[in-house]
Amino acid sequence: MKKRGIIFTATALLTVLLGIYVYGWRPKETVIEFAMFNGSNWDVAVQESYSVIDKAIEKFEKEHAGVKIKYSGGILKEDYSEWMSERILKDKMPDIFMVLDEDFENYINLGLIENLDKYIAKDSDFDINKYYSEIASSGVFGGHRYALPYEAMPTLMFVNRTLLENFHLDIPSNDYTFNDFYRLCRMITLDRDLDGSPDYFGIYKYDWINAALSNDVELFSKDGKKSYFNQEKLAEAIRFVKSLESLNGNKNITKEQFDSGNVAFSQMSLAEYRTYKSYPYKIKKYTGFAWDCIPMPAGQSGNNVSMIDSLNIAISAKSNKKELAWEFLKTLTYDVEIQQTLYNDMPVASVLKEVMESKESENIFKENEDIIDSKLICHILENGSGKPKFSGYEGAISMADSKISKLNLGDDIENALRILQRQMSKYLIK
Amino acid sequence: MIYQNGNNMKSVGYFKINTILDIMLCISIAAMMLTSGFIWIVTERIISLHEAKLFLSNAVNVPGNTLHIFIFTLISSVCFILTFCLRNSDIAGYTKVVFITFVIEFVLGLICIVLLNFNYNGILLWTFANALMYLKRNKYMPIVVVIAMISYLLTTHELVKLFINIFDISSYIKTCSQNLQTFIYFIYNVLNLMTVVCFILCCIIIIVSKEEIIEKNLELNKRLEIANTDLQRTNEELEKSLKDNARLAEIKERNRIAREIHDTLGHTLTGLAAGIDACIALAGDEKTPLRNQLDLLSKVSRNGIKDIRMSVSSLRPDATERLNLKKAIEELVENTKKISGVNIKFDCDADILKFDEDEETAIYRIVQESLTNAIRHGNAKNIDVLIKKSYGSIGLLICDDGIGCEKLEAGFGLRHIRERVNMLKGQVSFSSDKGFKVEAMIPIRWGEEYD
Repeated sequence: MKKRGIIFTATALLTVLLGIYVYGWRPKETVIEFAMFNGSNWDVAVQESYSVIDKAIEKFEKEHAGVKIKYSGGILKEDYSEWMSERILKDKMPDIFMVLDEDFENYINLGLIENLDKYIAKDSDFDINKYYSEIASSGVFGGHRYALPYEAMPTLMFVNRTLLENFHLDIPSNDYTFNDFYRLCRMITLDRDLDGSPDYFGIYKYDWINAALSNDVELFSKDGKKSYFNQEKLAEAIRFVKSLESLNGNKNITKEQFDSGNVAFSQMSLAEYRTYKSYPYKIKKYTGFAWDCIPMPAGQSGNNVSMIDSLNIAISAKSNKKELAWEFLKTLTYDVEIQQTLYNDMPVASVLKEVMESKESENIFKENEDIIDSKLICHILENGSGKPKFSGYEGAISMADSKISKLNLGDDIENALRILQRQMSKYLIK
Repeated sequence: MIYQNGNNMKSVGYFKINTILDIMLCISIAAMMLTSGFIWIVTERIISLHEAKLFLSNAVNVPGNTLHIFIFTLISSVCFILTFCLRNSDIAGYTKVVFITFVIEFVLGLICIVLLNFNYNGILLWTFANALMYLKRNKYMPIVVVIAMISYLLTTHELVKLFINIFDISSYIKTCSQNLQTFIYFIYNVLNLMTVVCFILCCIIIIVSKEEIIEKNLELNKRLEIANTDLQRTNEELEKSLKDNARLAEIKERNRIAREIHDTLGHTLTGLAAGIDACIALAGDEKTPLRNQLDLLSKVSRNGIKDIRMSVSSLRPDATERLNLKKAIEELVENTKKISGVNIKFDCDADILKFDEDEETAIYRIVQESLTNAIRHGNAKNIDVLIKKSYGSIGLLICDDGIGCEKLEAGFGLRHIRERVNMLKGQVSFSSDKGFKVEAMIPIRWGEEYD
């Protein structure tokens, strides 16, 4: 009996000590850690890259008393993936974080990203249809939603106004087609100094992927398990790109030639456009000529749309404050005020339809005589194709690109695509 | 559950089970500590070399905080050593304490296995090797074996990784240099295999020692059975001798009473008769009333003497009491002859037959019983009784020319004869060929043959 009493007392004492220890070390306030990288995801320079985040944090903390959001600044985009990996290995994963496309699938497979389905089902205020569907679906993997989009990034067509004016050509209307585009390029491509090769060029950096998207071609299924290379629409798109390339002779157009204004058209992201063109991020670039952006040319079967990339935010599966993280995720991606600020202040597009269609948004491009406006971007966001987020995408695309870039206009493109389809199926199974 | 401290007994040859358990504990703990320590060190190294992204892209699962896992396995290892020491100490007598140590070990082991993502589950074998050793009652053995099998199977890395994503230690080993890789694989596999080998050794020792115990038990049982039958027989003999003693006491008492009557009343009556006779002589031959009265008294007294003799002889059942054995048998034979008219021939090669009282009684009774049987059941006309004395024993042969019997049945007094002979450690045989034949051999105690 005596022994039992001693054991009992010892256990009780130990429990009390443990309780005091836990109580003493318990955080005084709930802290949610948010991970993001410095600068832009879209390879453009941005000032005050934390301003929108800071505003969101301020708003969130006001709404949720006693909750603090913490983030560590200064992580460059190229270091971000390694930084996250180290945090994961140290078991110090942030509660909520920006997730890069290259890591997305891997993190899901490692069980590091929280499945958001149950939060969405539970949250009556939340409606996924308020996002652009193509952008929202970039956070879906294997039928489950793991992330919500924060920024959207459509691709546009740069147009050198000065060059077109010199050739007495009009800027194409917003619903121009492959044929219109080819005609313009052919007229611009000119050998002015008569050295046997052209000095002015129609197009720089416009690849078969852009053309395929504008011709309503879906290259991969969303989960990245299937590919659809063997289709006539893709062959058409490739033929179009090859015919454009043939205009330039066999000459590769350099960045210098583009910068000096000798090229009429080029692919350009909205980020670049807004950074270099529109207020307040007007950075001096392309000063020797007037320029603008227009949508992509539409293929015979397609529309004037392009690839839409997005930056997603996910919640850690290891977090113990997932409900709060979900609330903050909503503040970042679903809050109209924050998204409006994002669209206003950053060279990106919002992921919410309501923001893109708002009165305030209409004024963003009004100051210059821009061709691009919010309505046009809305159109692209609604009809564009989301960039696939599966982890094998970059490898698959570069493999297809290496095969397709070797093709010539005279080749049997359909047959080449059949072979490519077989190779791609094998690659994707791996 | 009931456990026993089996440390002293379980050994096969030079393989003491405790030595094996010591080795097994060292191996299990070393394996756990090395696995968790290795994962921790490799993780730190990966982070310091900024190769985390590369590592994660090849990983299947991340183990969580590796330092915490290492510390937990360290604490668990200390617990394993403590519980082992506890079981080997005096406290081993408390079955509840032993049971609790096993539960603690099992739970801690499972947590460690899960934390190490099933890369080492030998610690379960350690717990079950101990549990099997401490199990005394076989009825719990199957339950423990089933639990052990299921839990070991369900924690096997190769099996678990089919269903859930778990990290493989090989993905950590692969980050090391080629030479180191071989070395680490070697140690990892050796530790894994050694645990299994130790477990098998423990099982063999337990099985063999159990078998030895079973054999020993069987042998003891056999001996106990033999002792039991001996005891039963002795008991029966004792009961019989008690009965005989009672009878003997009764006979003695009757003899004493007979002697008393004979010596006192008989003596008085004889004296009285002699006195009366003297009075008759004094009275003369005249038929006077006195003389008549004296004659009557003399007659009465003589009748009295006869009566006393009769009652004395009826009180004394055995002639052996008054006569020696040979005389008694002779008298018995004569009396039987007179009563039944059967021709009985008695032959004895010794002049005097003098043995212990029980032996004499036995011989007398055998003869008496045999004669009665021959006349009553055999309808014999001639009976031969032969007593033959040889060195250390006496032989009895009673044969008749009667009808005998087809089947020897107890109740003919034969059982009685057999019991008497057995009591004296002699041998008796009955045969019924031409007439009935009783043959007995009774050993005589040395040195008790006297005149």
